[in-house]
Amino acid sequence: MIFHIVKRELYDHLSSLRFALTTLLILILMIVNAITYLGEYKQRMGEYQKQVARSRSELKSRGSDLYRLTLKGPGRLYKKPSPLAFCADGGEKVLLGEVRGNTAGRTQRWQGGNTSHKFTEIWGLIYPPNTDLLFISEMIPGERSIMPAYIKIDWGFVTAILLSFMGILFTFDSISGEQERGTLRLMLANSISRNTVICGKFLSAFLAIATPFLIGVIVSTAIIYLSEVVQFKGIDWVRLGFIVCVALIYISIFIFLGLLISSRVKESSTSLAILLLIWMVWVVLMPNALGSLGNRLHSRPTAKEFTAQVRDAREDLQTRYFARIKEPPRRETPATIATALGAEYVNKDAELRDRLRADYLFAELRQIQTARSLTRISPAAVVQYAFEGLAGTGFPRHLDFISQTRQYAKQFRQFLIDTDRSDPESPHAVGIPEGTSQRPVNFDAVPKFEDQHRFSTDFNVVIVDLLLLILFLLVLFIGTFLSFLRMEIG
Amino acid sequence: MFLVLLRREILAHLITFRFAVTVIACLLLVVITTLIRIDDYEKRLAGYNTARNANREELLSTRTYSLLMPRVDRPPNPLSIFNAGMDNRLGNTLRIYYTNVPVLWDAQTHSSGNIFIDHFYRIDLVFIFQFVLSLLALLFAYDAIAGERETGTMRLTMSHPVRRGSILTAKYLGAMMCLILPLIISFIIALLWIVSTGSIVFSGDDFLRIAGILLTSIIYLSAIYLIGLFISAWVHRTTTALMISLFVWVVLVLVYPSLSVSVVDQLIKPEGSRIDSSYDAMRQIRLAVNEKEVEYLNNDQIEGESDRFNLDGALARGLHVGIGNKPTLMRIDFKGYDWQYISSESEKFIPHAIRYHQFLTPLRIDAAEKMGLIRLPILEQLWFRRARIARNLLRLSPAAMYNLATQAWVGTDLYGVEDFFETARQYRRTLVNYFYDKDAFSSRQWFASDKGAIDLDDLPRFAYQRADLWTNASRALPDLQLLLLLNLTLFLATFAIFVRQEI
Repeated sequence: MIFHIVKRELYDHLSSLRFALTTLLILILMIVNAITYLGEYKQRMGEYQKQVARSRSELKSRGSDLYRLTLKGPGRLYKKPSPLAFCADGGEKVLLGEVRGNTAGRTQRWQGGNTSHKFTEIWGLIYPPNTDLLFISEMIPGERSIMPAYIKIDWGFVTAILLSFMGILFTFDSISGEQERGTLRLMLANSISRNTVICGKFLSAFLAIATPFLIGVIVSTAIIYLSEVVQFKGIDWVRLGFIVCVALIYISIFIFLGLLISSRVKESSTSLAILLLIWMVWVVLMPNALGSLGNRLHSRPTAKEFTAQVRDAREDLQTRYFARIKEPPRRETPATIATALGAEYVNKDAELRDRLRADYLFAELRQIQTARSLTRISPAAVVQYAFEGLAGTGFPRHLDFISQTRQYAKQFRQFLIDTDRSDPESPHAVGIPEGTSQRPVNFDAVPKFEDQHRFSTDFNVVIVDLLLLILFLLVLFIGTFLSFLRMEIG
Repeated sequence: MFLVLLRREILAHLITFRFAVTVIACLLLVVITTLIRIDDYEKRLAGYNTARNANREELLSTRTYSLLMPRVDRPPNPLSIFNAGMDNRLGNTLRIYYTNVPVLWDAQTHSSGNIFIDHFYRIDLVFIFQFVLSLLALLFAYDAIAGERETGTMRLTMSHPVRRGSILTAKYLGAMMCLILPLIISFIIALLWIVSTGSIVFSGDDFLRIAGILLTSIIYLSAIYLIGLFISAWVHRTTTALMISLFVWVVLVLVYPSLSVSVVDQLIKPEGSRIDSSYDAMRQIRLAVNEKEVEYLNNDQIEGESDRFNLDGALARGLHVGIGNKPTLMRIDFKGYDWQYISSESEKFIPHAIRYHQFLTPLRIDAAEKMGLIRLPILEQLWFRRARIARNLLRLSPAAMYNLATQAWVGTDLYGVEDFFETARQYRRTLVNYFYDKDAFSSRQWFASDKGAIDLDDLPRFAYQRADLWTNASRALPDLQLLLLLNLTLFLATFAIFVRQEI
């Protein structure tokens, strides 16, 4: 029997104007997205490869000298663009995909008696947007972009905004409309349970919305896959599969919402007005309003305050160490106290810079984190975040990239120390030229950075969003059933 | 008869459920938005004041002319509560070097705001009206003609001696009055809230600007209503009219603005080759100055000196800005010195150093101006052109026109922000003239403060005024005109369809 209901309803839906308009709109948007993405990906990937190659060759040019490596560090580290960015762009332009492991090479002069010595600062991690760089703008066009603000039209947008809208359009009159016309009474006069009716209505609306979406998904994936610009790996198909599943859950949420309101309200036009308002507030306005609260709830120091803070802390460290250094460092094995202290100072200074910069960066990231947590009240935001996580773009990916660079920085430091340890002639005070091994370093042994897209990490982030969506779905599902079962049909 | 019709229309709208729900939602949203934006404005104002005080202190502690590089700040726009626009997206603090003609991209941000958040989450009053009230307008319109035709009341009305034009006008005016009502209440609530917090002070002109925003909002809502009315007259069934209206709304308000800008952003890329060629041109200018410097130093009496001129003493501050060889338009050449103490033996080099600066500094200033003439147009070409194309394409959507027009009224559009940089460029000229007036390059205080710091009492201060009301109005005018034109066209088209229709 349920099959008959689904068939009847689905037939109604498919021959309706809204279905035609939906399919057309979704198809146009998905195709435009796919086509513009091809150029974008080619450019992003080309740029990434060029940057990585340049950074490698710079690292190589530092030669085999261990001290030079200690001084200059690994160079620039880049975030690898995701092949699936067409699903969710995630604001890659605003989140700068670059971390620098290098040094400005400033020196501090130590003076004792009539001797003096210059200590040169060694490399540390710099996260470009949070430092007060004068020339940042050409590197980050997004930051000072004078383009009118816009939302990227990707699968995330199509799903979050359009599919939810369709969900409402296909269901607002499905119960109240039948009640107005009296067909609901007729149907229930037959031996059909109310559960069957509601299931039938849900399934037909679900199929009517999922079909154009899946067509769009197939067409746009086909365009991107067949163009051979983007190389998909096996795991990317799994990611795409999950993305489609998330979209389907999301569609169901709005279908149940529509059925719920439609069963509570007597007139279709009232039901529509209520649904449109809920949709507008929940999907469009709430993410924007709550997101703006992110940097209100957490404050962070301004760039100027941060610079002052770093300067003060470093000066403090410097005075403490310089008071203890009694003579200039010399090349001697084992290292003199002054050499050891000098190396310790240089390393502590690098550590201090790293720590403060990371704190500052994390203060900024916490604001974004808060904004995202707040907006999760809206399923539209949740579905966007789930898409980003699954596509390997956006904020969670950015966090993963940052943590990978920090991991790598540790590895690089350890490499420097280990290489130095393996040389018996070295004074073992890495950080200053007098204390570092002079044995040539094998370039192949130097650890290199490569940004990894790790599905397990991405998926862990998505679980929260997935559970939230399921929670929304369950609440609305139960609500709809209860409401329909207890509904009086007049 | 017309009045009867009008009264009926107004009453019919006012008692509907959709009207009540939408108005309540709209007012609630207005209250929340005002709250968020006032808080945002206060934070930004506090940031501005701190930055300004710090910059003034820094300026007053400057001891030589060559290190005079005041920082200037852009205050937050109090009207940004209505439309935030670019106000917190673009840089708001800028250092003025006499060797650099400043542009928008030289600026940084002094606030502790978050670029990511400002970029992704937008909420202001215009945003609310743009979405919520436009939807209400469509809900009023979709069954205005189609619905009455279906229920048969249209025939009834027509049986009276009333012209079709009057019927249409009555419908239009009735709906507009019901739309303007929540709009005005929203404005009043927002204004009351703003005034009662006391942190935002509006000038008389600002109230006129707010009136401009109100007017633009009315014209926008009218355009959306007429779109709905047109569909309602054109289509025979109410449900069809509703579906088409809603789709048109989604496309015009949500999809098209983002789609057009993202396509422009993707397809029109700034050309890297132009950056390279202008960088080369600017490098030539730099090299020419360097050559003259070398030539000058070779021809003078003392051999083999650097720009320190064998001076012995304490250089409290020596500043040299300028980075790398990477082709960039953002390079600034700058040299500043502050000798706090100069030993008596090197006193004999001082006239020599003075002559050097007297000769070279005007050359550097000229070079900076020449480079500015290359840099400004190229940045204009690279970035402004794309933004302009995007803006023009956006104008196919009335929602975008509304957004752009209100930004222009408020002064948070691109041109409004550019005004600040124009003022900064003028201020740089003033600063250079001040140097010339003071004969600063040929003074010892250009590079040394050992005989006392410079006196900054008569230094011209930077004062930024937002553009006046008429400039704002003239910037809003193109979009306003387009909206009006759209209104007129739609009204005439609806009328044409309605007059010929058989009831």
